[in-house]
Amino acid sequence: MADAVITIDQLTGWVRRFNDLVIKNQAELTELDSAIGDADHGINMARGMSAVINKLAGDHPAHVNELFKTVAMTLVTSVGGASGPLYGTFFLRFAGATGPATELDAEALDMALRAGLSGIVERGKAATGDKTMVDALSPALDAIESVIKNGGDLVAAVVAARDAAAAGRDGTVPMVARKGRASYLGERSAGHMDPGAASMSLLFDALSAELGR
Amino acid sequence: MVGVVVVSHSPRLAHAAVELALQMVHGPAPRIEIAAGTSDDRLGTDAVRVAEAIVAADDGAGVVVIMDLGSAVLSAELAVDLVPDPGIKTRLVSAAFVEGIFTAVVTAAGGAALDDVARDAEEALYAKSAQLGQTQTSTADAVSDLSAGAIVAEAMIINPDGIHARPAALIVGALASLDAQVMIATETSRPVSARSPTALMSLGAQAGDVIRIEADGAAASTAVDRVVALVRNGFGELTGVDPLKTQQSGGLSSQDFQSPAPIGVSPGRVIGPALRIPDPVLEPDPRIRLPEADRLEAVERLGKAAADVASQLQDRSSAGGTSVNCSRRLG
Repeated sequence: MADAVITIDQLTGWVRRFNDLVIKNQAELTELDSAIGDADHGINMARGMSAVINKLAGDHPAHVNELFKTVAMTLVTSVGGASGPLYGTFFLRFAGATGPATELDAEALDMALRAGLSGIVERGKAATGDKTMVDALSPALDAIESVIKNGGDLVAAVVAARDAAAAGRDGTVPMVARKGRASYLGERSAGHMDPGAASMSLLFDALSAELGR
Repeated sequence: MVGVVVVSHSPRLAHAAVELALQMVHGPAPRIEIAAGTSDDRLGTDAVRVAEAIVAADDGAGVVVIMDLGSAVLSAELAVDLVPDPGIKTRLVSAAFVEGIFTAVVTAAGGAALDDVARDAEEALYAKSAQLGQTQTSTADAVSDLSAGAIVAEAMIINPDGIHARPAALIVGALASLDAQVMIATETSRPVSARSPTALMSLGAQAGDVIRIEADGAAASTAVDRVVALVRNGFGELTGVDPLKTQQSGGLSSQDFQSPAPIGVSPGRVIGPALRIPDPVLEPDPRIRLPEADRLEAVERLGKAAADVASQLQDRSSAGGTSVNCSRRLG
């Protein structure tokens, strides 16, 4: 198993790829948000991730927790909208779960992502089915755990997570929003993909791309 | 004194709301910290700035945080996690923004404890609901459990506007340092806590109404005397005399009841033309650099703008000094 662990360099690469994908999909994310929100998700995420990349150009965190604490705090101070504290909480909790590691195996990655999910759920008071980023993140983690349980490796787990996140993202289309600004629209929010679920799915696209898939 | 942190997407919204609240504070004000807008001057909130504001607002008595909406609430919640000192008592208050800031500032200035400031801010909409005839229960008006030995007095409201925001703030302030439980009722409304500006405003006490003041505790007698003195001198709205100062200097003189001058929510209200204050000029970000190719064009643009300004100034000065201001007047 060549990829039994994901190294700090690969994790940094994950963050860079996430930035690339956010910027590439910025217009689409904003368009999704203009349908059911305040039309700033793409712009805010692109600004936040660009700030992260600038920050990482100067700092070269040696440990996983430093890396994701930097990501979190930079997002919190540069995003401005609700995705700042939400992604900020996600990466802060992720960092808290890994400690000063230099690499993560599948279980450690799963634990860190799980801690991030709890943070988002706690912060946003959202559950699956509320038409939020949780609808992409939660099935992704279930997929990782299912692969690990069946003896699959890290790459297989990440690929399964990517696919589950994408399916979860697509699953938000018919949902009626119960959290965030979209919830003010009630039934009218149905028929549109949730922008937070879309950006969360990009996070898993970036992770699997970093592992060569 | 309990500190107040104001979290808003908009710095202008936050500053204006704080300015409105501070009109009601005549003595020392609580620490008020504003965490509003993003570092690059957009609408938005920043949890790190909120955390810094919480630290700066605390003097040991704790901090209430009033937020506008959406990400302001999420950022405030995250900020509580980010505050390095876990000893700072922090309450995120689900208050209406303007009413909440107003009440929190006035109540904190009155020396109330953290829980009381938070509760009053949360119930700050009560006065508006009562004014509009919509009932809503407030905990501040249901605690009339004074002992049989309570000191009771009655006084007639004589200032034309009754117990509105400013008189309410004066009553809260006058009672701040006193060890007494004080309730005020009118002939038509139940007793409310005299330490809550919004509860007092919800009484709807008008000129001519007789209010009933009940106090219990070590300083009950002083408390009743202070409230009666405030009411009898029309909360300073008959003469413009600051009633608290009068009170400290030992009683009122007959002159305080003369001269029915105009009154208002602030010590001096006048009617005049409004001047629009232009938006502040923002400092450009030094990190932004123009590409080499665009610089010549930018210099030309600046030169043209400077020439336009100079010629406009010349036009205006030749047209007479006051016309410059008139052109900015509204209404």
